[in-house]
Amino acid sequence: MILKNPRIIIWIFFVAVAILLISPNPDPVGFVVSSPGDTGLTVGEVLYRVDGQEASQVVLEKNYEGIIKVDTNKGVKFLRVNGTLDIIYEPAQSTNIKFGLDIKGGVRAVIEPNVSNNATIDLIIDTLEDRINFYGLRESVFRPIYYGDKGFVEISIAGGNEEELRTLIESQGNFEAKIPFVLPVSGGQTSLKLDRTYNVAVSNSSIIVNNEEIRTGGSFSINNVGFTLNTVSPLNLTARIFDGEDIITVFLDPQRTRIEPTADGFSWTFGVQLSGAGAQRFAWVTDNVNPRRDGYLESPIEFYLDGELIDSLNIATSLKGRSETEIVISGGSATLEEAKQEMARLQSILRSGALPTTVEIVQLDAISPSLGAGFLKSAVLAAAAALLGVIVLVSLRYRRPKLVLPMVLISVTEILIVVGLSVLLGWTIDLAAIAGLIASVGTGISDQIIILDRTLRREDDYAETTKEKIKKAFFVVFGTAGTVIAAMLPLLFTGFGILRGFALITIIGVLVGILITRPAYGVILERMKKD
Amino acid sequence: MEVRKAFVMHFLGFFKFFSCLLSVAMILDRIIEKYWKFLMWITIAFLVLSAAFLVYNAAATGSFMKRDIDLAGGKVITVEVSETDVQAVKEAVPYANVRLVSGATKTLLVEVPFEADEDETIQRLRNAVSFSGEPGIRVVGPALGSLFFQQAQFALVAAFVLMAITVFLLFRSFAPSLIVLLAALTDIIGTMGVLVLLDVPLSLPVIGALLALIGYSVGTDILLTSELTKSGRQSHKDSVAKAAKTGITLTAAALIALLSMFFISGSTVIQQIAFVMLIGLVIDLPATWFTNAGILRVWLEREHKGDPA
Repeated sequence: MILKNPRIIIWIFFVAVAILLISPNPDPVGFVVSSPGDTGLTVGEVLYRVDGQEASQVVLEKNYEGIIKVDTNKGVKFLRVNGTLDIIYEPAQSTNIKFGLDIKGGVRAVIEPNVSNNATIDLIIDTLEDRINFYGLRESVFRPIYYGDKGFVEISIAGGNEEELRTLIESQGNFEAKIPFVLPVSGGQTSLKLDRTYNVAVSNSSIIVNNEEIRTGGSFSINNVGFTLNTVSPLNLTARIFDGEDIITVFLDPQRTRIEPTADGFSWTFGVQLSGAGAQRFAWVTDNVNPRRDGYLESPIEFYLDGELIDSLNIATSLKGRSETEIVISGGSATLEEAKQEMARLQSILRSGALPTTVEIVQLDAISPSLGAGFLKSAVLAAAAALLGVIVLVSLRYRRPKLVLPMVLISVTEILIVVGLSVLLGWTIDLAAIAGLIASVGTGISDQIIILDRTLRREDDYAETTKEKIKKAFFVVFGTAGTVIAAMLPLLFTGFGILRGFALITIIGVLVGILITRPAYGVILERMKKD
Repeated sequence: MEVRKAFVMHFLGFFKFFSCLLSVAMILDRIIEKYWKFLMWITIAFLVLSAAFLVYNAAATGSFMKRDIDLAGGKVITVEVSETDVQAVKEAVPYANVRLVSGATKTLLVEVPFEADEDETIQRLRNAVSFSGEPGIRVVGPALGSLFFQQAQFALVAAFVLMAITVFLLFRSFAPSLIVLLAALTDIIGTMGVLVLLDVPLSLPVIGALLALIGYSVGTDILLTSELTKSGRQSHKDSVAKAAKTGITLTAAALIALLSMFFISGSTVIQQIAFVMLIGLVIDLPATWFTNAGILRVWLEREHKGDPA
């Protein structure tokens, strides 16, 4: 019985496992959680019903208050929600195959840090991972890559577009809050109030403070408060109150996060918790600023991101000299959508902190999901046409369906096993990988033709058994497999993004061919020859 | 009705194409037998010519092949279109290199220099053609492109060396291995020469395809060499004929698969890979069945001159 042959058993086993791994699900329902936030759901959990309604984009984006019932593939759960469900999700897929960004749409970027060593690269990955995950772009993958002695970071994000990615990663994220203020000078003397009062001597073009002479544009620091001397007359100083490091928490709850319409657009505000030292500096510096009649101080507090002014905010007189740890950061945008994006961006930058160095995008690929879906459709069509064409050719060549049928069966199972393995190993199938798949199935068919031709020969001069003939054919089959793998190996070490998939799938395809499907084909042919 | 008729005609066309390929095998067999000592020089001449062409190109332009934005830096904007007047697009974006890739879907590729502003280019495109969805964007910095180019050259050489080692290990005989490598070299150098002639730039998919070609193209040579060197009492002529019958079926199968990839996929990545391999496999036909077969036969005849028949 052919089914008892170990090679056939191995082959069938791999096909069965592959089908299980790919797990085709012709009618996908629900939404898969890709990032559960702090809801208590798990990654990969499938949501069917939320608060009694069938899960949909609308239902998942709604605001909820209190405890809601959620039906998932792991049973019924009760979640406490205040606002929207804080999760990232995607519609359930019909297979487990992970498609590359060029098929499902998304952005891939390679960034080059201006200072490159292993520690910086790791720090950049940590920071950007926080930033992007917090911003809420879908699943993102970060990978350090080294070309020669240069280090880069490759970022792949499903969903998301080029602009979002650029603003998120190209800003180093140096956040600063500053207060510019004027000190009244009388008789060449004034004083600066901090932990104590410091005397300042003022001359024509410079000031002397703490025995140090400062010229216009120069800066100095007293007790960890940095100052810049803008002008001497009037004596205009800018104090650095705090930076990103001083921000301990970024508040996200609806009470402290607001977007409101204004006369010329929308303003957004959110609360942050400041470190004790930052709050202390705020108290010291505001003590030097005079109140106005309208209930605010004369000087605003200004927020800068990477040296660019984002917003300036009036300080209520009641806050003067107070060490306030909870403060509000604000900004304005022209449209509601922009306001949302800008607020989310600043929040994520503040939460993740600044990058250790500036970075530059040196490579970028952005593919829209519709473009990608079109590519997949065409690629699958091309593969089907290729297989059909080869079947016709082989049928013409051998004119016996009995010989052609196993070939088709073997080729189809080979595709299944390779795709199944890619699911198991967590590899993504992109367009180049599909090309590799078609190429390796092509070699598979070539190998079968070699084996078949050898087997079919009728040589009287030297009596070879079918087994011996197949063995000889396998010399060529293994030889070809060896050269293909040898030629593909360098690609794995050079690490060109799009060619890795091509090389990996080709190598796996060839290995599956010589180790699993070709031996099975040999057995099938031997049996057929005996019959 | 019209569609159906066209489909049938199309199918018949395919049918003829296949039978044609099969009869080529038989004709080839006869030609080889009659002129094999002369034919083997054709591909050797082709190899020398291609190599000279590449060297000349390297001397004239500074690199042996023109580099795509993958390897030189730049930006490509990809949009899916239904009907397109490429000329109109060229006029709308005069500083761009515009290409239309057709398959089951049509995509328009607009290449601009790294310094160009992609948003402005997209705006100009929107005015010139109607396209659905968001455009795809690809940006490669010039410095990274150069790095890729260096790595590509390394990968090509490394792949060839590794393949050569595999061939030597396989045959454990110096001369036959060397002859196989000569055929492989003809495939690679010849393909690159044709690509330069057709003005196809070197890109990452092209590199992938050249590497794949290094691996795949020696398949037929291994088939032939193993048949000739391990043929027992069979005559060399019969060995070549038998190997060619199998080998040409293999190449035909590969060509069919590559042609459908090229015409249907509509993806530049797949199209470029298919195109390069198509050229390579066509070159591989004479490289294997003329040169490799010819030189190997000469070598075997000298080797076994003293042997009793």
